[in-house]
Amino acid sequence: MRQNNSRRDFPQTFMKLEQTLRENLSHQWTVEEMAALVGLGITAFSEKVKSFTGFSPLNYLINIRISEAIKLLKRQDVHVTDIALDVGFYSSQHFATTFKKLTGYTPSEFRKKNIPVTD
Amino acid sequence: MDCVITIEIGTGAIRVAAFDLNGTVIGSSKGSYPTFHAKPNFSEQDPEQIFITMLYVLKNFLNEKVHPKKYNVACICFSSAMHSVLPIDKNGVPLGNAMVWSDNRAKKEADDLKHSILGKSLYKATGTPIHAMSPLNKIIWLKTNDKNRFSSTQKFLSIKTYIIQQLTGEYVVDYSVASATGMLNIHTLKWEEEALQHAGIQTGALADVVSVFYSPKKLKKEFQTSLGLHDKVKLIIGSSDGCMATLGSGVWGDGKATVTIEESGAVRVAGKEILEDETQRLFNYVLTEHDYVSGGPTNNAGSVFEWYAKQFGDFKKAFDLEDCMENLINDASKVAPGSEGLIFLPYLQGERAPIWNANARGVYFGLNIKHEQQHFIRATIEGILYAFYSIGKSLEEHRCFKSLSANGSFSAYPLWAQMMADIFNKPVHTQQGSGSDSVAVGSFLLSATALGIYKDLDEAAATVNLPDQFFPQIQNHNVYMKHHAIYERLTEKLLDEFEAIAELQQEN
Repeated sequence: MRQNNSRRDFPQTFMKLEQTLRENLSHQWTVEEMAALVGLGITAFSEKVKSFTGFSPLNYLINIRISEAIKLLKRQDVHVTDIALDVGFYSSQHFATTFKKLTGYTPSEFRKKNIPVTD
Repeated sequence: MDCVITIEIGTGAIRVAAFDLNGTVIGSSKGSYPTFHAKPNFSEQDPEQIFITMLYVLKNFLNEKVHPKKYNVACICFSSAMHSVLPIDKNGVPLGNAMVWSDNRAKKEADDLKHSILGKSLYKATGTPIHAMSPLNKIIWLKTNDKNRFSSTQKFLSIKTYIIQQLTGEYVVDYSVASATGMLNIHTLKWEEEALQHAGIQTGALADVVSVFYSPKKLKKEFQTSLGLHDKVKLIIGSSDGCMATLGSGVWGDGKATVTIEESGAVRVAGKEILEDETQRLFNYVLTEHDYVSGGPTNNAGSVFEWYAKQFGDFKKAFDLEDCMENLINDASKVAPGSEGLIFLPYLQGERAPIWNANARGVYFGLNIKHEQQHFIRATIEGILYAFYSIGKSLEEHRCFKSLSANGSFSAYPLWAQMMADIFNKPVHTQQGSGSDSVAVGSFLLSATALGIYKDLDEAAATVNLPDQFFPQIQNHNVYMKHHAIYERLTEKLLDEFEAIAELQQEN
């Protein structure tokens, strides 16, 4: 019997998951929740995500969180504390540590160095 | 011991690899990012996500594979997909996502230009076929359809230019990526005034054009610290992925061509002269001041076979496309060449070279009561490869080649490589089993040349040693040619019907 098409196309399924994650980025996602959305067990899900994206599900999520944070840091009108929570870090300390480890900058240094002061 | 790091900013993923100075692969790693389609014709990527993915993959890779073994990173060389456009504002902040090569929104702008006198002269000057893929037409689209974004734009960058600017602060674009924008005069290596005028921009709106060997400024201190790199690491801007793949296949000079079969595909030759194609079928991209990579791209390669597998294949395990495709290919091998008269036109996503028709669509032709599923599978693969052969034929009107070097994941299937050899009637080498992909190898060869290990790219390319070979069988070739003739006539005869059906599909 022909299987449901949603169990065939991982790129498309992952795209939908990614969209859901982005729409609820402030939520503290667990791997269990993500795997359930795709309809796979945790192990199979993690393996599939790793081979497709190169990242574990939680690292992929951090990737999205930091990318979104960078966009907000490049706007002057949002506070760093708000950015941390908006993109899903549980504290601004957690945000600052993760951000610095990856980019070498703290979020506020990054903002200062990347955006010239404008009127 | 010194090593070279290569970074490929590809269509769907960053690929990082390290080589020792003999060209031996130390390791490789990848990280993918999504393509967004806000509308059917739109294909966009988030520049910040690409940048962060690159940092993330590079950092983990260095920490896992390079630093523990005490390698000294001598240089980092970049390559990227072609045709991307990223508008940034006066502060250098991206104005939305980048449009990538597959973005088709500028179809009308491209059609209008292609059929004008200006279009003909721009193709001659820039070497880029007039098509929605080209950044020239994307900028014209912005000018006409997104006036606010267009007027807030300080510069239109390529994704690679943006990444390098983030790392170093410098706005530069290499000859190779620039030559795929439709705005670089490939004869003078300067931005083409006529193209800029047509796009309504000035030279200052584009990055400075530099050689593929150019070293941008040092990495910013913060990135040196987070990546664990010293300030003497040499950055090399590198070229487009297509030029790197050609160099990395050792296809350099007369008598050789390379075939890339990924999701999309291309047939390319390298040489010291530009190919002037009267009917604008072929591209001419620049690698150095006197090396050109010429050829044609197809939209419908691996992606079409994957489409077939997802629709009609047997998935024993959820999402196991690899296994499903292998079984299909195994079934296809039981059918004789020619699929007993079943012919497939693979134009599911319109087609670029050689027909350049966005309205072309897929067709199975010649179906009779004896055909079974395995005939469809084989016909699908044959149709995909006929498209490559048609590109090859148009190339051979300008330059002959005696052998093919095949790269990309689909050429690793022996059946595909053998069919390629039979259809082209030429021996095929593949990079299967060599453990590295041709884009990374090309980036290594370019770096090694920049470091003085090779005297020039000709010497570097001559070191590529391709292991596997598939030899053509003339009786199969003859069968394929009879079918390919019908394939080409069908493509031509269906021109009006392609237009009609595309219009109908547009209404849905």
